[in-house]
Amino acid sequence: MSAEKKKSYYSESFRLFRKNRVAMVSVIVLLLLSALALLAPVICRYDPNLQSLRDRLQTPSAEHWFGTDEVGRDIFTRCIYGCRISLSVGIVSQLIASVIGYLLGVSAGYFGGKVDDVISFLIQVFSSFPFLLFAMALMNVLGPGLLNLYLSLGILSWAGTARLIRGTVMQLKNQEYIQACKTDGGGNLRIILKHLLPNCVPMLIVSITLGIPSAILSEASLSYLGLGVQIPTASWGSMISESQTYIRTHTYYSLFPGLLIIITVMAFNMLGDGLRDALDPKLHSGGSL
Amino acid sequence: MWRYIGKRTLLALGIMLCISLITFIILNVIPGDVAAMMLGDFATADNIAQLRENMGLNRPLPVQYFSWLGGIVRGDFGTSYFQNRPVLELIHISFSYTVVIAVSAYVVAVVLGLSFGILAATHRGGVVDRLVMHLSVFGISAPSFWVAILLQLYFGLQLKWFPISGAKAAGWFVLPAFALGTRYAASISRITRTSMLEVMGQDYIRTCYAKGLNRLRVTIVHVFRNALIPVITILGNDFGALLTGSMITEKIFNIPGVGKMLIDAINRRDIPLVQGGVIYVAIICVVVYFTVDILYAVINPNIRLTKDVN
Amino acid sequence: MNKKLALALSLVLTIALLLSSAAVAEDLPKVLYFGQAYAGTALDMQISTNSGTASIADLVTESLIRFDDNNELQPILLTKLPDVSEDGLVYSFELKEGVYFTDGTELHSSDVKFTLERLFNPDTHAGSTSFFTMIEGSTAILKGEATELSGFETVDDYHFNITLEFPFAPFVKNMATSYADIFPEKATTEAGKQWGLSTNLIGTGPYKVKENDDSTEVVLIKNENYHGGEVLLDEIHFIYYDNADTKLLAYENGDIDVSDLPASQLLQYQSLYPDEVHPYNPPGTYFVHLNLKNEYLADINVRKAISLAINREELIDTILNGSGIPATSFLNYKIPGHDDSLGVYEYDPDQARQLLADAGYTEPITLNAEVREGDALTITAVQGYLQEVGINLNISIVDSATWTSDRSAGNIEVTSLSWNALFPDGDSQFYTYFYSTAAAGRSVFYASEEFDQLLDNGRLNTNEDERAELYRQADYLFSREDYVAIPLYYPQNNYLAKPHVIGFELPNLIFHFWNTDVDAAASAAVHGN
Repeated sequence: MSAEKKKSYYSESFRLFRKNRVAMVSVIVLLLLSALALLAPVICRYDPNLQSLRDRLQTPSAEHWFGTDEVGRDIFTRCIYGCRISLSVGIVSQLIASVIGYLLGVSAGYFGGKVDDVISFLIQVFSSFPFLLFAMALMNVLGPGLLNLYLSLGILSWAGTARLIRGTVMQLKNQEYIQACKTDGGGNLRIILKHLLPNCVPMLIVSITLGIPSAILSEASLSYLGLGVQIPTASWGSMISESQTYIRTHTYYSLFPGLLIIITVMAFNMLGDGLRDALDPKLHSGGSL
Repeated sequence: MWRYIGKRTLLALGIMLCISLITFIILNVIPGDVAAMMLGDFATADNIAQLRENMGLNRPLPVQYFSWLGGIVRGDFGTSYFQNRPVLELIHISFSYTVVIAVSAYVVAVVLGLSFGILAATHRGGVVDRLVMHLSVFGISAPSFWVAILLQLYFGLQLKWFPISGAKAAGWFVLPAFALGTRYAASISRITRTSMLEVMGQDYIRTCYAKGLNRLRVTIVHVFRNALIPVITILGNDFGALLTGSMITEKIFNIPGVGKMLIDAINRRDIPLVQGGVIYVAIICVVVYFTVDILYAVINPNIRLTKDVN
Repeated sequence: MNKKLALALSLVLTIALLLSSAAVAEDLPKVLYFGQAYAGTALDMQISTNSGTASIADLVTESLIRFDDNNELQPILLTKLPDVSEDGLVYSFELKEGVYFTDGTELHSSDVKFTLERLFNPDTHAGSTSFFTMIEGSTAILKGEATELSGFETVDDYHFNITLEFPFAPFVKNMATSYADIFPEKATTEAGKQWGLSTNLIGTGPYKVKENDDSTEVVLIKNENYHGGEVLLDEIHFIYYDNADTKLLAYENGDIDVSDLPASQLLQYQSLYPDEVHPYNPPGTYFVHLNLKNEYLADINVRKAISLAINREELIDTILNGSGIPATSFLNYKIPGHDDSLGVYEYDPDQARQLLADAGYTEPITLNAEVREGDALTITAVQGYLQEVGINLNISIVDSATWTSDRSAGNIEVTSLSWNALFPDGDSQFYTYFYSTAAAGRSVFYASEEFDQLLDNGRLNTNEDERAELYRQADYLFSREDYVAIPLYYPQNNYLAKPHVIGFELPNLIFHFWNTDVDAAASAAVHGN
């Protein structure tokens, strides 16, 4: 793609994206959530981990908007801080997965032959894993903690991206300008970074955006099983797990983190859909649907 | 065809070998000593050391791995450390529960997914379409364990329509099936909608409509048939996820399926049971993927089997 | 219709209905449904040390002696409690005649000998041998040097003597644990490795195994020929739940009649079912475990400061919903030797801060805690208290396997748990955890010669009053001078039982249904059969 073409491609995508109301709403929701997460210390009146045993399990009030939990911590505050965990786990783990996925996918597609065989085999191995089970096992090995969550979810979810990139690169590498660049003596690294990467960016954006919701749900599942963040760190999954105990009399406690997960994951899914449509060249000017 | 099957089988064996090796390494790196777990609170250090020796846990790891692998080749999956029973027997028992849940979750997913997908596609752009699509995003987004808890509370305890736990009472699988199935229903409905719209836009279908053929008949025969392909793909891809993804659901509904068995086995460091279970699941997944490939060919002979090995 | 006639008719009908329902009630089987977690092991109390396994197995296989619902020793398979020789070394037992295992064989001395030899056999992998290694010749079997127990002397089919290597005061009490359940030689040998699995468990007990799938449910059925008289229930169903929340929903739903109730759930169920919540007090202590090898925890001022920082009463009132008694020392109040004159540990965060400052800790110190999931709530509360006095506690929640092996490797700095005596005896609560050799294998590293000496004397001395005094001294040294561990409270556990469950008592951790009955008609109304 020439620079000019690239520019018009992205401006066309942006135009299409702006027209997609659902996607725009999800962008707004996500911006709002990110703002909450970033500004958490400013917004919240309480320390998310400060206990007040005498004020435990209070129903929502002006003082505590979402009520208090089993050791008297403010649930609203913990939900906001939990947002930090969910968003960061989603984004960081998918970035890790994308870097691994891109590098392996591009190597497989570009070099072909033995390299491709080995990497394709690895892709298959990693997609045949029972995902949650291995995430559990890995978290058991690494121990609970945010960094370990990023790592284990990242390590286990690169296969899909690699497969996509591999397919695209296999098509791209036979195109004239890549071939031309090769005969001009362009190094492999140069081609991979300068020519192939820009072409894969739209795909990477979509796969990251659509990977984030799964990562958020996986984090919630792991935290539910007690294999996520370390206590007392608030995470929506661990809050659901803790609230399950009180669900008969304090149902609202479980509803807040649950609904927040749904809203966030929904927003990412819709954003991903919107981006996919907007970045699909087939749908640019004149494309239907 | 036979060459393809042979190549495919060889690849599958390689994958399983790799998975078993990775499983083995992870399980041996996890802190926690099965001998100490088995002996309980009052065991002395001597007791534990002796048990480890008797269990062969002091042998070098490669020796342990290859002796396990040798067993698998002979069809011997080993014996569970804790339950002292053949791993294969335990897997078969737990599988009988998981399969019931997985299949009924599939039924839920396919019935809901297809009908919503068709509904949306035939009312494209309208209120129904939008409603269905939003509902489906919601379905994909809800954590299934949270849905499970709420279903259990409302349809089990409050309304008493279904048993809230266990695998004995009639209808035990209904709530777990819904907790698991809605998620897949959502993705099926989205894909059905997209692929149906794609097919409906194609010339030959337009011609059919233009010719005044019965709309319903056209929809069912042509559109639906073609739209089935991606649906089968998602079924195939998700089968493995369903089998092991039911872990937390099984735990919440107290169903002794494979997922719960594997979680328990990991927690107890029952390595032969985990190894056996993982390999067993992997075998089933590979067989399912394979069947899906064949199904493709049956539904749409234009797709050649060798086209896409991955 | 005539009013009088109508009245008479309805009266007759009512009476008929009552009579018929009474008649039905007579025939209704008495069934009890109990929910508990699955231990994952065979129902063989030589292999398992799990209290859940014991609640099932002890109804099928019996020990010679046992603690009854009042924690009193009772001879079960014996005519009377064993006689002890002057030097405290030889115990003489007399079996009841005419006690049959449910496979039809009669209980003889040879079965007892077989049982003990099987316990020590290295191939059995018994986890509880340390309770019995004072028996002469046991070590030789454990080492694989002998197969016969030299300390066991068979007099005849109903009489035998057991000789100890050294006097051991709590020996009879140890013989009253589930780990000394007597197995029939013939059936056990035939079952081999399958003993305790499926329906391969045969004993002299009031119930026998009818169904057991080793994963979801065990059904016990009445032993019609029980040597102890009429058995109350026709069937007991043990249903396995490993998610406690699900188990409680199942209780509410009427799937089970009895279930334990975690302290965190107490408030909720007290408000929902006030008449069905029952407390019980096992002879145990909930404490914060400290590793004395840690650079900070080696300093007694730090340990004392931790104790002063924790408001035990508040902790009990809040997160435990009142279900606990603030600890005054480590030894539980039900155990002889507990000193009633000691007050509750002081709560004084200022003094705690002062102690730390005096000891030279001007900056907050950081400690790492590793606990199992069930202890998360309490340690989280402790974390809150310690934060106030300048101690940061990092908590990791790990699974049992990791915790167990980290603890035995000496890697745990801080943890918290409840440690229960199997029976009310100081030896049972102290020795296995804190005697210097045991403490070294449990991440405690307490090694006080004085403390060890007191515990040793407690084992050798057969005078119960003198023993109580020894444990009082050991307890004071441990709890109030050395601050080895930080006792928080004596747990008051709770269980839920439906109103139709009669006569259920819980003196210790194991749910034993020896004297439990159900009102069959009321039960049928709940379970609908």
